[in-house]
Amino acid sequence: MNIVVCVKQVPDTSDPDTEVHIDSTGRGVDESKFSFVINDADNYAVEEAIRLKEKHGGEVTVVNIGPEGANQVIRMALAKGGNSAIRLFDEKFAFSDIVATARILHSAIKDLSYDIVMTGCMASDDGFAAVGVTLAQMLGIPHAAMVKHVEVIDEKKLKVGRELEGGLMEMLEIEIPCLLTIQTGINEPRYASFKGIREASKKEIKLMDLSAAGLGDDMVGEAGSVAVMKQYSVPEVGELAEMLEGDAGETSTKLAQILKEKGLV
Amino acid sequence: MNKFKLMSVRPEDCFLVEGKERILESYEPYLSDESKMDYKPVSAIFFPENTAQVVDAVKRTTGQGKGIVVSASRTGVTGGAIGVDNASIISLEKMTARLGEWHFQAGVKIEDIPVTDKDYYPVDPTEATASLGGTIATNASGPRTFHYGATRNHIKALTIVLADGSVLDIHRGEVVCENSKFVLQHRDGEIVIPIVGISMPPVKNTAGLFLKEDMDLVDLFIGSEGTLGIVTEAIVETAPLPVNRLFLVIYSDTESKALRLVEAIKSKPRFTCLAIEYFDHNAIALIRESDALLNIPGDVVCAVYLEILNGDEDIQEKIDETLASCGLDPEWTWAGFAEGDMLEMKRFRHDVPERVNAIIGARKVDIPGLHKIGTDTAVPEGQLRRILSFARSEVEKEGLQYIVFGHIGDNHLHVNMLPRSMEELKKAEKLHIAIAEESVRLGGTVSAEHGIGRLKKDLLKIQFTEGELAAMKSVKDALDPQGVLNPGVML
Repeated sequence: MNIVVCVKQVPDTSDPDTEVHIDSTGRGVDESKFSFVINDADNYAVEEAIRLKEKHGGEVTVVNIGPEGANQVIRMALAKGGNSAIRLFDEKFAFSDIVATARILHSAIKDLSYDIVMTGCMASDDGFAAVGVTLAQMLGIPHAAMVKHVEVIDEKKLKVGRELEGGLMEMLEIEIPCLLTIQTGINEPRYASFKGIREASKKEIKLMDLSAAGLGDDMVGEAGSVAVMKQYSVPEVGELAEMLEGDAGETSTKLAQILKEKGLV
Repeated sequence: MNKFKLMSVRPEDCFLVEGKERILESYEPYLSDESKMDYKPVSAIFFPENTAQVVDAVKRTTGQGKGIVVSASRTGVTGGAIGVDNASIISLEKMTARLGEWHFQAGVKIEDIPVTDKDYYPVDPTEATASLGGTIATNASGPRTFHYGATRNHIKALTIVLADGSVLDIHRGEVVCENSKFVLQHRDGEIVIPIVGISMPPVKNTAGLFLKEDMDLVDLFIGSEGTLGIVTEAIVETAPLPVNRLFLVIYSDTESKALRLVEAIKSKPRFTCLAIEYFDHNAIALIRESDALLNIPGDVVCAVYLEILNGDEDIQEKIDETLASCGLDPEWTWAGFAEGDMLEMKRFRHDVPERVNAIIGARKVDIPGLHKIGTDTAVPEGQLRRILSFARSEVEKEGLQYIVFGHIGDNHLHVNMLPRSMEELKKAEKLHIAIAEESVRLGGTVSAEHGIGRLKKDLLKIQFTEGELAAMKSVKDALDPQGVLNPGVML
């Protein structure tokens, strides 16, 4: 059971004090304020891939699009049990939309020998939740999204559960090879051990740029995208919001007054 | 040179809130700190924004014959910032300005001190919301003190407002004790501060004043808990930012193996550790109860946390060999090298004191007078096993619930006792004294990082002779003859 698992490095916004500031271009955010982590759903995908490998044999290949700093999340996936890794990076990949991103991943995965391709169901930074299914289309394989249960029936079929609204689980059979976008909570991701990290440090991460990926300038970045990101903006404070001014004593008195007027206390 | 001129700074009007009733109604949080000690309402709280406004607050308060409680983030655990009778509070929480590259007002929070591409301020008290001034007043430390030393090692200059409203602006190296004294000169004369060197334990220490014959004047104020002057500004010393670190939680099935690992790392260092922390079997049991996501293997008894500089090519091999030499399995570890991994491990470490507080909080519902008793002692190298074994046998003899965790790299473990009744609380208080006495007998300190405050004054007598305490008192009398600054703290 050979599995390819796609991982993305995203800003760590789990810390409630993390503030997102738009940079001077208006098309990016100030990354110096963040530490970076593996995308949460991808972490579950890595764990699921490794569990299937441990149970059924085979190899796990980790694929990432990102700069050198992304090696950290790749190495961690390798430390947990991944066998090999590919990192795709080229300056021209910047501003790739879901189609261009899926195209870049496709270029690296299409020649690999795989039974299952896994991605997280959604990236926590852009929230598109569409790269996985687009990649399945490009690879010409069936897919299941928001997967919260995976079971191998035989060499040709998987039984998978998809999480629907209200906690409903849709069980379906899907042919191998296939692509699954993994939902958080499917398993309990392990931590990497020091032994794993030692072994991971000896594994090679294969680098692929635009030409190694066999892509042209017009297939990636803005040129290769159908949707072009124009600008980030912060929502304006709504008219219904009232900002209380003054010191703690004054603001608490005003707040008490408002709550009283609205009949809330 | 042991002489220095004090500055006379023209006071600027300082904003204040007055009236005990108003303060109790709207500003009550300013009367307490993390010690949760009983407090009294004060008649005024000043909120200065610069040194000149602190001067104003000091002059107006002392002019009324009142004492001054200095506060900012109120994260201290020994009651140094609580409201007391016949006093005003000067809160430095609005003094958060950055005045130069590494020059800050005292109210800036440690977590808000910037990190550049190359440098950072390496002092890392567990409570990152602590103010810089508070950490200077208590010579605060944290996990990385093992490598970098405590706050004292990282302060280059201080601006201090004295009890008479004069201002001292000193850089390290400018004023050094000579002929057993410092002389501070001002227009009306001079303040002579007598310095008698006292025996300081060879461990990190926050108990009592720092007094040495050849000391720097900057050091007199660090760790003085606001009793000698109010620190309003500081220039801090930074360290190169470690770019490549390895974070390791090493699980062990016996305490002995874990201690062996700590001893091996310290006696024959083969790699650079920034921090070495410890969690005993009771601490691990608490963590297990609280967070299933931390999936600690079933047979784990205790754990050691290491933060390692990961610069050396052979470092992983060296760590592997060190673990193996202590009978520890590299597979039985949780490792990471990214900031996110470190933050997750920090959660694991912080979970212990938080769980302790939650347990005590629940018990307080039925028994309001209950509180935890936590030791803060440290012992010299070679004495760790002795103090650990003493504390364990004494606490277990009394049948108290307890956990042991903390900065094992500095031989500084916290024994937290969790009483279930007022009777057990009394037993825990006695054991606290006994553990402090034993630490001092072994050559250590009664307080390595929390300070003395109002809560632990009795412990000072264990560590210092009457003569040494008198030497501290004479320094206080020289700088604050009316005893207005932080009355009831430390001395």
